[in-house]
Parts: sequence; C-alpha cells; structure tokens
Amino acid sequence: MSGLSSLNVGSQALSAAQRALDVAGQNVSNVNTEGYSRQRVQQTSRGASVIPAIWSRSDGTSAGVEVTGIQRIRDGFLEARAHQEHATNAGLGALSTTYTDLESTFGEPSPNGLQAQMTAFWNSWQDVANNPGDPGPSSMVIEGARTVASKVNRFATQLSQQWVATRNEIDSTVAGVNSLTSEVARLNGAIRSALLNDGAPNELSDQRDVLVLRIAEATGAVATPAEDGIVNLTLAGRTLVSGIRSERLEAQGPTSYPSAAGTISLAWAASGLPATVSEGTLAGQLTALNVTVPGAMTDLDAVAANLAATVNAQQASGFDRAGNAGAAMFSGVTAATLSVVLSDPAGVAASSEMPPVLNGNNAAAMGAHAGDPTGPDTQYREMMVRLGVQAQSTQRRTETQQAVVARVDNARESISGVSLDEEMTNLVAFQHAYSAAAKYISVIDSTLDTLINMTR
Amino acid sequence: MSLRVAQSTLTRTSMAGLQANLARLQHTQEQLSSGRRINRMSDSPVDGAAAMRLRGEQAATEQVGRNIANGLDTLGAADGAMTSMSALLLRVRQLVVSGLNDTNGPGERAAIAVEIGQLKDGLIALANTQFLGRPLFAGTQDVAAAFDTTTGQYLGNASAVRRSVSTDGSSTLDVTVTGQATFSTLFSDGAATGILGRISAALVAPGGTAALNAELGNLDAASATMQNARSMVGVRYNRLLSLQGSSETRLDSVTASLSVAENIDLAKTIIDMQIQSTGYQAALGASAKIIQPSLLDFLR
Repeated sequence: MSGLSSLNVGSQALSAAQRALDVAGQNVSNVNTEGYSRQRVQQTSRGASVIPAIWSRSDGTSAGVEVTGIQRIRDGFLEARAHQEHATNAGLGALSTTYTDLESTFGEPSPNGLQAQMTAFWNSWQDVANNPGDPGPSSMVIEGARTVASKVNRFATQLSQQWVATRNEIDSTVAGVNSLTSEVARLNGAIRSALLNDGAPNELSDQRDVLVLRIAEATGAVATPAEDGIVNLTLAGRTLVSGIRSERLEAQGPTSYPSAAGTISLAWAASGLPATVSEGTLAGQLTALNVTVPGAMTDLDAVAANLAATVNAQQASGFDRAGNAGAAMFSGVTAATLSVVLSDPAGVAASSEMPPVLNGNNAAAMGAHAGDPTGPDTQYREMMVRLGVQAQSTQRRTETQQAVVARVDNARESISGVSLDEEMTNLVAFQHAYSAAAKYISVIDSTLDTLINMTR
Repeated sequence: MSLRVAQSTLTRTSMAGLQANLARLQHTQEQLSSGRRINRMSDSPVDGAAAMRLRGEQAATEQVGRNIANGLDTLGAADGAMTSMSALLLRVRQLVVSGLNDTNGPGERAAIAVEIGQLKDGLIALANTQFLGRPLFAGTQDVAAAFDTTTGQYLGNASAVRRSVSTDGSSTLDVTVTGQATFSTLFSDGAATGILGRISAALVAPGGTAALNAELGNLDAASATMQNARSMVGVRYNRLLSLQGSSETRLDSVTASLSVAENIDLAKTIIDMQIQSTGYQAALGASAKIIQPSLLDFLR
C-alpha cells in the first residue's frame, strides 16, 4: 500500500462525512415539510481486493469508506394502513358534516321549531272550540296553518339546497381526484427515469406519496408499489393509476333535487362502466346524496302528508259557518308543495253540527289530534330522534376514527419523521468524523513530507 | 409501537391535545351561553325527544288552562245573570203577593201589572246575556238572543257546551245553563204566554185572584228551578277551580321535567368549565415547555 493511497482513504472519509452532513442538513431543512421522509446516508467500508492473484496481492489493509446510497426511511405497511384509516376518516367526516347540516336545518329541540309551531296550531283549534262564533281564533288557526306550511316548505328548500351543494362538492372532489391521479402518473414517470439514470428521486417519491394519500382519502384507493419505484393505484380491483397512465372518474346522475333521474353514481370516464367507491370522501358524499338527505326528505314528506290528511279529514267531518262540510285546509302531499288553501276564517269547520247549531266540537276534536299516537307530531318527533341517533353515532365513530388516524400518523412519524435532536447528534458525530479525517490527512501529509525530505 | 419520537410528533400531539381541549371548552361554552344542555338532537337523542314531547305537553297543559279559564268565565257570567234574575223574581213575587191583597183596586192592580211587564222585559234582557258575542243561555244554537224579546219564545237548543279539560281532549266539562230548562216557563210555555204574562193578565182580569194564586205557586217553582241551576253552576265552578289547580300543578311539574331534560345544571357546568379551562391551560403550558427546547439549545 502506497502513501498516496492512504491519502485517498482520507479523501474518501472526508467526502463521506461531507455527504452525511449534507443529508443531515437536508433533513433539518425539511423538518416541517409535509410528507417528507428522513434520509440516511448508507455507507460501507471498502475492503481490499479479494480477487486471488499471484503477483498483484493486497496486503490486507482496507481501502476506506464508500457512500452507497441515500436511503429514504419509510414503512410500507404503515403507509398502507394510513391510507385505509385516512379513507375511513374522510368518509365519516363527509357524513358527519351532512348530519350537522341536517340538524341545524331542523333546529330541534327549540321553542321555535316545527314541533312548537304544530303544537301552537293545534292549540289554536281549542281556542276556536271555546269560542266558535268569533272570527279571531279562526283567523289564528289559518295563520298557524300558514306558519306550519311555510316552515315545512323552508325545510324542504334547505334540504334541496344541501343536496345540490353536496352534488357540487362531489363534482369538485372527482375533479380533484382526476388531477391528482394524472399528477401521480407523471411523478411515477419522473421517478422511474431518475432511477434508471442512477439518480436518487427521494424527494419526488415523497411528493408522490403525499398525493397518493390524498387520493386514498378521497376514494379509498389501494396503493401497490411496483418495479422501478412506481406506485400503482386500484379502486375495487380496477386500475386508477398504472405506471404513467391514469384513468379519469366522473360523477353521474341528476344535478337537481328532487329529480326522477335516479341516484348519483361514479363511473370511469373512458368506459362509462360503474366505479365502486366504498371508502373515503366520495363514499361519504354518495351516502349523503343517495341515502341521508333523501331519507330526511322522505320522512319530512310523510309528516307533511300526514298533517294535511289529518287536518283535511277532520275539517271534512265538520261544518263551516255557511253550513257546508269543511273544505280542505291544506293541499299538497310533500314537504315542498304543502300549502294552505283555506283563507276565509268562516271556512274553519268548528262545529260538528249544521247551522243554526254552532258548537266547537269539531274544533276540539281537531285540537286533540296533537296527541295522536300516529299523528304528524309523533311522526316528526320520531324522525328527529332517528336523525339524532344517526348523527350521534356518526359523530362518535368519527371521533374514534380520528384517534385511530392520529395513532397511525404518529407511528408513521416515528419511522419517517425528522428528529432535530437526532440530526444534531448526527451533525456532531459527522463533524467529528470530518475533523478526524482531516487530521488523518495531515498526519499522512507529514509522513509523506518526512519521506520526501529524507532524500536531500 | 416504536418509541422514536420526532419533532413533528410532538407538534401534532400538542395540536391535537389543544384542539380537543378547545372543543370541549367550546361545547361547555355553548351550553352555558344558551342555558341548554341539549342544543341539537345528537347531544342526547333520548333527552331531546323527551324535551320535544314535554314541550308539546307544556303547551297543551297551558291550553287546558286557557280552556278552564274560559269555562270559569262562562259559568261566572251565567251565575251573575241568574243572581240578578233571582232578585228581579223576588220583586215579582212581592208584587204578586201585594196584587192578591184585596185592598188594591183595579187601578193599583193595573199599575202592578205594568211593573211586572217591565220586570219581564228586564228578565228577558238578563236571559239574553251575551258572553263573548254569543247568548249565554242558548245552548249551541247560533242565534243573536236566547229568547225572543217580544214573544218570549226560546230560540236556543238544549245541547251542551263543553270545555276540554284534559290534554288529550278525552275529558270535557259541561258549562251550559240551557235557557229552555231554566227560565222558559217564565216567558213562554211553548207557544203559550209564560208565567209572567199570565200574572199580568190575571192582575187586570176581574176576579183573577184564584188564577193569581195558582201562578204564585208556579212562580215559586220557577224560582226553585233557577236556584237549582245556580247551585249546579256553583258545583261546576268549584269543579273547574279544582281542575285549574291541578292543571297548574301539572304545568309546574311538566315545566320542571322539561328543565331537567333540557337545561343545564349551572353549578355542574360552571365547575366543568373550570376543570376544562384548567386542563386547557395545563396543555398550553406543557406544549410551551415541550416544543421549545431541542438539543440545538445546548450545543455551543
């Protein structure tokens, strides 16, 4: 071994330490970068030649250090688990928002809710019963009916608006997913060509994995690593991203509510075949559009129909001031179309007998419908309880899922996250290594100096 | 789970902890500022349903209170009218007795007859007493007056007027005093002239003393009928008063139940808020202490 090769060992040690310092610097710079995975210098000691030969033999001394690569520290299993849990969390989040909106629409229990207004309406009939000849209480009845009808109408409008807003959201979510998938495909291509050219595309991989997590959140897609550093995405077994190719999704179905055109579904834009999304934001939004909001609307329609039928039937069994059987007070059988068609207080059928008899018996019977076990009040109350139970269970599941997501994220961080303490320790360690290497070089230098100055 | 702790783990945990603390504080603050434990159904579906049902029952009980008050007013008005009528009937009786006295000549008797005629008008006016725009003694008939002011004919019917006195409408109370049964003998018996008319006729008819004597008996019978009606009104009035008492008690208990179901326990909520606020401050303090230092602070 020559003195010059010793210098070479020293220069390798210097450059390895330098490289390690660089990587520590990169880690420190990206301590708060989303999706950044910490990196480590992989170095191996360089051995002497081990190839057997007669004359050219190594004397067994080693030949320094070699940097073989810069590793990106990441746990694939934890990443896959994170995709899954994030998807479930996002789906529950979307559903939870829907329930919060529904609850704020109905605003029960409250002294101003529909329940209270229906009670006031029934009570006003009792006032008519107490004083059937007076147009005052009868006018109150009609006003009460109008208040109830307009409240129900407003609920129907708000539900429709919520539906349309969610419909727009699903469009923008799908658009977001489409741009994310094409970006992932592009990054896949860049990573592959970088790897083929012996580059280190760690930062590109980090970027791509952030996007993959977002896609998983939105759709519940499954990511599978493949050759050359690329990642493929599948949705219920069908390809979403394959290498540098991505498939587009689209939302199909009506854009207004209520509509006879059926439910909202997702499809592959290219083939038009249905796409199955069972997790993620899109799944939550689909449930909201196809089940939750229409369910609330159906319940509300039933309340409106029951109210109209109950009041109209009781009206018909009584007589108005003119002696005619009471005319219908409500028209419409849905929440959106419920309206008050009786405008004349004299049309309120207070009496159970023809004029000249004027008693309040029919009005009293009407007032007693407030407590019907199958009446609109009970029905509405049951609807609110159902809504409350569903909202509560969704909220609880969301809270639990958030805790799970936090745990998984912490576990990922504990593998991939940058620890400043660790980096500082490494900095110090490599700084020492650098100083030692420099010292080594100066020792070799003075050794060589001694040798050179011997032959004066 | 691996125990390597990265800086971002600390940040994330601190943020999550602070968020959770703040969310709890916000929930308590909402309860405190609205004064209600249940601000949406999902806060507690069971209590929410109870609150809705109790609110309905509260309104229904208030309505029963109004129905009872209306019944009390009706009965009070009927009693007032009948009290005045009794006084007038007493005066009629005095006049009839003095008319029976033979010291009175035909002139005086004619004058008595005139006064009785006027008393009859007064009695009819009282029998036509209106309450809230409707004649009090006409049953459920939709007429302007219970008795025809000239013929004394009864224009009403004998149907009962009822007030609903229970929240489900199953229990009602009759608040009618039907003019037919109570005073129609005074003014007319069917198509014929009533007791008062016959008294006036007997007073001016020569030798009508016997008829007058007979009418005195009828008059006493009519007075007795009215007294009966008055005592019936009194009984019903008392019954309604006791119902009013129990209805008010019921309203109190429903309101109390509603408050239990819906309102916050102020002391408990304030203590909760104190605890949460302490927890929040502890979390803030811990975050400030933990996030700040790193090895960086100790390297030269």
